[in-house]
Amino acid sequence: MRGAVLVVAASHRRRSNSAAIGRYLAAELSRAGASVRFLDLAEGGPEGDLRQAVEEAAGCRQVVLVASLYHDAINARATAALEAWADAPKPDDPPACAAIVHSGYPEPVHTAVALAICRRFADEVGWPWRGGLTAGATSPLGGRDLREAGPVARNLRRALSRMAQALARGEEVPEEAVRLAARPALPRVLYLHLGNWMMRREARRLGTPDLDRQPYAREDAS
Amino acid sequence: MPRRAFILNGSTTPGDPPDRISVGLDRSLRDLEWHVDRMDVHWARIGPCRVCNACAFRTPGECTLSDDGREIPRLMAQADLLALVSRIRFGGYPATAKRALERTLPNVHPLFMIYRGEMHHRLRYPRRPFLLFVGWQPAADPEARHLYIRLTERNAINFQAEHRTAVLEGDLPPAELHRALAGLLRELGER
Repeated sequence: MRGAVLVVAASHRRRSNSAAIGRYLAAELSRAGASVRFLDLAEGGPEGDLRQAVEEAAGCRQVVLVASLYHDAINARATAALEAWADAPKPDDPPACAAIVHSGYPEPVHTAVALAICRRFADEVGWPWRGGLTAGATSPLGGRDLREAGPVARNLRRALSRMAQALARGEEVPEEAVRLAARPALPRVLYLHLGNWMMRREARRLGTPDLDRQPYAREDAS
Repeated sequence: MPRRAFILNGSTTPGDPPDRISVGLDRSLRDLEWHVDRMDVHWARIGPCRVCNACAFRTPGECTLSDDGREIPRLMAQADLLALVSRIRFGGYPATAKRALERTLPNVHPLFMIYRGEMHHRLRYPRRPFLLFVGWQPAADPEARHLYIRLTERNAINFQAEHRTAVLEGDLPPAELHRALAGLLRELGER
């Protein structure tokens, strides 16, 4: 096991974009000659324990966390994974650490703090930091295999390839990969209108009675 | 009508510094005749958001999970002040506090807009509470402090609300805690 790269997708649910991104990275790492382990935390349920994540990390030379953005930081499940690793007995030879934070919003400003939190984690626990990617406008991926996601995932696929090649050599995530991943596939205005069109279509499909409902409005609200 | 406050106590252990901050804040606000609701995450049953989108499409504005976390959007929507108190972990929130914060999702509208030059979700309610973020760390740590402040600024932008962030550090003897909270509330009262 020692010498393997552990890719951990930390999402609250199965068929997540985190898992899709993580699986693609794992495949690219294998192609680049690395020994890889993939772990999807959602497989253990939204409140499953994190012992396997702790055990696997202790036995690997690198850990890559893949997590979605939620309220401007990595999601709670991913945060719990960081805490579990931080609170575990310190290995003599800690793994290196990298991260990928993805978001439905296109602009990199949304994910910058989340990635900084991952880096801060690495610094606190003494895991050498290898860098990270942030990827925006990932909602259209819909949890699909990135190879089948078409042009919307082209920049991200290229970024993950470059990231994998660097990590397989024990190097840091290259700046080229960072730039590629941060480049949204669609212009923002188009993405916004497309996003709203998709949301309204979903509402019609599900027969949403009132999308603008305000069940908790205060009576004295102005 | 009295002003309403909702304190989301992100303390992980009863009696720890964030818990003492939350209890102190609660008491101080009541002394000022606020109506206060407080949810302590170390007692409350708050499951993770399932990202099921029921609150967007099936029961707009309402979570379908049957636990205490279901009340979070209501308490937030009806508050004049939302205080999130927690330890600072890796420059952000601990997982249990983050889990509670994520349960505010029903107050986020599924459609998008441009706000301050960025893409954001619309919000379900035109009225937003003032946000008070209080982070605690055991010792002075400028880097973690700075990261926490950046995080709460981003939260405030996403919630499209005014905010104030305070970082308290160290053991917080009762007199010192009382002074810190009194100063904070005085500052809020002047807004």
